[in-house]
Amino acid sequence: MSDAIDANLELLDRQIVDHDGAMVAKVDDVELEERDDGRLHVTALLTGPGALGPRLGGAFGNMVASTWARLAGRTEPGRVSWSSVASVGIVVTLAVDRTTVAVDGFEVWMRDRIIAAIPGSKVLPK
Amino acid sequence: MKKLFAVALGILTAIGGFVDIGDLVTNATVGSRFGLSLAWVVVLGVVGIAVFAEMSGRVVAVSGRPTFDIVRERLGPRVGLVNLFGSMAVTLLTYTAEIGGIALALELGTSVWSYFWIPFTAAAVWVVLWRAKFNLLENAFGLLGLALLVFGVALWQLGPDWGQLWHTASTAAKPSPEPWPTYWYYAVALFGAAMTPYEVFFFSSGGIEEKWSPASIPTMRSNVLIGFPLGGTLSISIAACAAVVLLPAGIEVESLGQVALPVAVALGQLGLAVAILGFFAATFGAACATGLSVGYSIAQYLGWTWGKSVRPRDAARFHAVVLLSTLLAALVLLTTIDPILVTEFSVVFSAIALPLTYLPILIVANDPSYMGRHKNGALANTLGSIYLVIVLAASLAAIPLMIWTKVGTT
Amino acid sequence: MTVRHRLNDLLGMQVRYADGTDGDRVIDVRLAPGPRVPGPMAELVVDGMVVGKMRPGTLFGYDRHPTQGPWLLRQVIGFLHRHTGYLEWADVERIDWDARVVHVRRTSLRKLPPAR
Repeated sequence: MSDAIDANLELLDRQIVDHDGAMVAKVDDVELEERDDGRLHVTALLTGPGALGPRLGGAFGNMVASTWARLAGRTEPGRVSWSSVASVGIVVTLAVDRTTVAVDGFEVWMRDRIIAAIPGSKVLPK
Repeated sequence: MKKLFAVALGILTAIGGFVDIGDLVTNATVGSRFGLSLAWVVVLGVVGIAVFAEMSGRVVAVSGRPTFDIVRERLGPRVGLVNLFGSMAVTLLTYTAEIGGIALALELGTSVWSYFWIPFTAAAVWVVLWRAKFNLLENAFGLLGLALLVFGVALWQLGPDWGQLWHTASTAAKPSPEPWPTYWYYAVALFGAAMTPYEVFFFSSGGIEEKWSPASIPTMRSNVLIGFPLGGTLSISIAACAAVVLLPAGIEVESLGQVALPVAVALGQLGLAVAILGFFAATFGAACATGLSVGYSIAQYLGWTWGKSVRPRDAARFHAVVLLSTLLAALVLLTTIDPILVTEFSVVFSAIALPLTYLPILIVANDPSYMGRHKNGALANTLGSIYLVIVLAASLAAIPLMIWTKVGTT
Repeated sequence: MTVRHRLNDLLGMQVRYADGTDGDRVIDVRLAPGPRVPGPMAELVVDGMVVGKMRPGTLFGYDRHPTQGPWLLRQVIGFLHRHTGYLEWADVERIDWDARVVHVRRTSLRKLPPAR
């Protein structure tokens, strides 16, 4: 019982970081799999507007989720398999590098389309 | 020796950084109409911001979580989103006001119409946010902002009736022609100017930029507990100058020039030049802080990489938001709207956004799984709880007062 | 074929007691380490549910850490959540995901065990 986690309080809406401490995403929702014994097992963390939309609720939340689905070309949200998770504390730490889980399509798009075009984007601030 | 220097630098930064366009305009306006009868609000605001800045600083030093992370985590995504929209709107409004303030300071210094300065100031702020290191930003503008101490010097030079000043301040003696609702409207505005939400976003995000750890807590505390009060003293000296020069002459504050007028009267051209330098530094520094804070809040809500310690291409969404905000701020200002008016709205709306921002901080500062032995003691909790009630009252009173007094013009 | 759900669908579900009464909702889900270890961390399994009225303060943790300060907030939140209780997984008869109702074998809630 000492390792029990209250999902809403201690897992949802927490920051996910990779094994170097770099930001990955937020825990926007959690995937539960129904097994043969009828019990629900946590199999993955879900991220992105596809997962956050339904949590915002109402027409607005649906609009967020459906707009994202149209732009991303799929309905399945970003998924971080539980097998990648190393620990859950103040943040959720992954055992892998963030490029392995690859849930940041928007960041990559923004970087490649817009930010990379501006001079100085590769330079560390001085 | 180096440590002493670092502490001193931090304190100086806090003083110079405490006074932004909102504080400049609101304190001068209040001084010109109410004398020092609202000085108690500045004191109240300074204590309040010190309490919550210390708490959010302690939280980030111990847990590595900045304020907006905590807002979403404790309020949930729905209420957290309401807070995000509200905070971003207020911070964006403040950002717009600050960029306008830089343009006004340049106008004062060069006599070139501020409107023409807008594209350049917006671009300059953005370039600094794109390229400059966080430390450099804080220190440079913080130190230059000390030029505003000229207001203290000017007040001394003006040789006012100190006894009378003290009397109006300590008894909150409102000048009789001013109506009570207007008095309270300006109390809320002044409170909002002292406790603007972006200050805690910036402070706690800065803690991550500067890689604080629990060992940083004493330094952080001395920055807060000495810097903010000295900054508050600066605010009051601006109000006092206005009380001594503008109030008897019935001059209303409608421009930055009027804010500086008492200094010109007391110290001539040189004093005025120093004041303008101070205005420029304070507004430029605050523009950088608010511009970054718009990015910080949305990035921390959505879990993006953010900050100045990584290359811009590694925080692409964050920098896109900062760029977009700068463009938006410039466009709003190019509609010829008066930056002073934007400022007046930004401080009042700041007061409204306070409760949802401070409540999560107070809670997390008490959470043992976050804070371990650094969690709130009795003093922090007592003050924090009292202030929660005060900010709630100010937040609820803001809009009714704004309507009733027609934005303080009655 | 495995059926997948989202935690969000479980949160906020109505709880219907064995005597047909309802009015309480699932406000949190307690997860415990399960038998499988697919990676560094053991897979978590739904062990029970925190049930009560959906009032503000559910994420503040006061019901979970009974001595957390400040005093004023703890009193307010404690009052709002005075009826909050707990259900173990064994108490659940079935979950109707479509109607969003959790059918429960008991007629009342268990006392809420503190988190740690």
